[in-house]
Amino acid sequence: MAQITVNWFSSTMLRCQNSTVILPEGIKDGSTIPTLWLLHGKGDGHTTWSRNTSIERYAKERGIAVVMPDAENSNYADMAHGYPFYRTIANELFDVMGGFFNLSDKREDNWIAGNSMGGGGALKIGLANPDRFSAIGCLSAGDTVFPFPGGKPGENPDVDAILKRVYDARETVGTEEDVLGNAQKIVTDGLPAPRIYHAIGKDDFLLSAAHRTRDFFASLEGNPFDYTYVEDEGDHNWAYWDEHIVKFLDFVGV
Amino acid sequence: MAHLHVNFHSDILGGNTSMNVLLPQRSRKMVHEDPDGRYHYPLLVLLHGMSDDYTSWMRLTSIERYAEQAGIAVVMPSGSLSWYADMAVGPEYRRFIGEEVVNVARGMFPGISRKYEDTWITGSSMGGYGSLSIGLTYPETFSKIGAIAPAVHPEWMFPGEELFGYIGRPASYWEDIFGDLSAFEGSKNDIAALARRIVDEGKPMPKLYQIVGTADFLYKANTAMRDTLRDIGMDLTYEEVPDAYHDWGFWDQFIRPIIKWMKEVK
Repeated sequence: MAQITVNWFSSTMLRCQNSTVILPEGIKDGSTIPTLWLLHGKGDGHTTWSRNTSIERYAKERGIAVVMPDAENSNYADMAHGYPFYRTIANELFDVMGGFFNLSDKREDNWIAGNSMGGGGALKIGLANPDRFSAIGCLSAGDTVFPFPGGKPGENPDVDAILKRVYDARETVGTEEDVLGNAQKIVTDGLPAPRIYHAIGKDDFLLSAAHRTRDFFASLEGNPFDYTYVEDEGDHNWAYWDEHIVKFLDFVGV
Repeated sequence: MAHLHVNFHSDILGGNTSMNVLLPQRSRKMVHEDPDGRYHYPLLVLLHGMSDDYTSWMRLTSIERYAEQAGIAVVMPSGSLSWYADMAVGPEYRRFIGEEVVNVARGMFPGISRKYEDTWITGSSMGGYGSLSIGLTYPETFSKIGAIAPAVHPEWMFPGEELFGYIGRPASYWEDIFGDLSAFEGSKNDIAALARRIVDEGKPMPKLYQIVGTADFLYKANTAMRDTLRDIGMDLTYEEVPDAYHDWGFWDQFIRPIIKWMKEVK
């Protein structure tokens, strides 16, 4: 495997952006590589999955590429005060990385997953782009990431500061960032539905958010997303994510 | 332009190694749906000198600016203190650069042109020797070779002759790299012998650009190598810069005419 730190220019954000990429070796000319787009959580960055898990070993065993972008604390949103991380990661990243590397552009070869804020980001980006991703892995989050650790809005100035930067008074209902709205749209319009793997530990502070998401998908007739929910022993930590990213890849069947 | 720090496994070195890569930033569609190769970019392999590594060109020069202006990819591998040789006792660095690095770069980055006329190599000092020895060993791969203040003559390397600062090393160091030093001339490590082999065997002739300062301690060795290579029949463009010496400040200047020449000369 090769591990590559890419510093590239985002014309969406009009600034430089770092990403970490893991690539299989011995790529033959003309062949393309199935790709996991892997998103980090709040407080982390493009290096944290590599540093805290054995993701490179799992990618090697399966012959896949992993692209890990950096979203700062944006909640994978087009920030009200800050940068358009949603558009950058959902659209431009896919294009730019495909320009650098031999990544497959086939739907069946592209999956998006993440932990915590990245789990919510994976649901958001995956369900807004169902023609691009065939599977979504949401680890230790729900379609929202509230309550934040450290208290509800109004209780903790740090949380309030992040929320103001990300959303301010902006509404996401009906936009590309409307996670459950996009899921409903896929069903209503008969679009291709990405399969969803959703896992959370029993001790996770985001359990209530996960339950809300679970209840939504459970209400859909015929389980169009092949939605699979796992609630098992564990907490909001890297040991859980190291274990469950493997389970997601098994779920994908790669 | 993007900067990529690549950590990868080398089969030839038998372990992990790092390289810096500069890539023009082009979209998926431009790179993958480009049968004419209009959007594919040339590959320049750029080698560091003694005591340096794959980070040196980026740290000590403005190489990214020149690469961006030229629209080329630059791959900067590490050659340790190997003189980019297939070492008598040690790894095969010449094969690593001349075969594996080129193949890894082409396999990893679909935007890199595979064309012979778009594949170039250059380097400074020990890297100048490396670009000559690798380019002349793989004349079917590299169409253009740039030698920046290359250390080209064994008399300037080996003990028993006048030594220059950190270049002074014990005989065992040189023997691990080149083997029997008394058999150096005419060997696979002798630049002149490699050039003669290309002529004798009728292989494709790479074009050469050699640049050196007149105040460089390698200046005389460079003029001698220039004459030798021209006598052999190599197509060599030579430039000397008055009062320039063996220093990164000059190499930051010298790399520019080399890239320009590589782009313009067919």
